[in-house]
Amino acid sequence: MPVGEPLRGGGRAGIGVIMPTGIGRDELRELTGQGAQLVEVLPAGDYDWAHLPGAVNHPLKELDARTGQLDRSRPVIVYCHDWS
Amino acid sequence: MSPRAAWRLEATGFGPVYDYVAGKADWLAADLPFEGTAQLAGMFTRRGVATTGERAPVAEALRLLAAQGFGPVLVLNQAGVVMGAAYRDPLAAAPGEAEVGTVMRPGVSTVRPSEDAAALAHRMGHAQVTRVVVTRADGTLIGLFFAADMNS
Repeated sequence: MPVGEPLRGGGRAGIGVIMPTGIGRDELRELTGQGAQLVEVLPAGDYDWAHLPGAVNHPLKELDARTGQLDRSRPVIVYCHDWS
Repeated sequence: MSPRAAWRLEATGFGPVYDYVAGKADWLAADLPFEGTAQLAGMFTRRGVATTGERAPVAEALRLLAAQGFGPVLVLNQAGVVMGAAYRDPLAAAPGEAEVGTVMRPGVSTVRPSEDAAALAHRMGHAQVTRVVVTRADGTLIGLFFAADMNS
C-alpha cells in the first residue's frame, strides 16, 4: 500500500472505520518530507530529553485540549517511546 | 500510548493519522539525528574506525591498526555487520598471509548509540572495559565508544 493511504475499514469493510496506519522509519521520513506533522505524545520531560527533529509535544493526557494547535489539513504522525 | 493517541485524533476528525509504532527508541537506536538534552553514546562514538573483512590477510589488518593508532580492527561482512574484532597480539602472532577471520574474536559485545553515554561509561568502568563497539539494531557498524572520550 502506498504511503499516504491509511487503512480504511481495518479489515471490517463496510462499517466506515478509518484506522490509524502503523509506519516505519522510511515512511515517517517520506511523510514528513511531504508536510506531515510529527507529534510526540510522551510527557514533557521525555520530550525535552530527546525527540525527533521537528516534532511537537502533545502528551496523551493533554491531547484533547491541544488538538487546536494541530493543522487539520495535514497528515499527523504520532509516536511514543516504543511499541509498549 | 501512541496507538491510543492515533485513534483519539482519528476520532476527532484528523486524518490521515499515522503511528510510528517502533517510536523514539527505534529512531535513536538507528543513530538518527534528534533534538534535546540527551547525551547519548552515539554523540561520543568515534566514526570511520578501521575495518576489514574475514578473508583479508592479517598483514593488512596490522597495517590498519598501525595507521589508526588504536584497536581493534573491526571485521565486517558485505552488509557492514560486525562479525568480530581483531586485536593486535593475535594478529601479530599469526602469519601475515593468514586470514583475519582465523584470529578474530567473534561475537563481540555491542551497544546501541541510544544508550545514555554517562551510564555506559560508568558500566564500562566497573567492567574495566575501555572501549565498546557501537552498532545499530541490525548489527551494522557505527564506530567505537571510548569511555575516556566522555572526559575530553
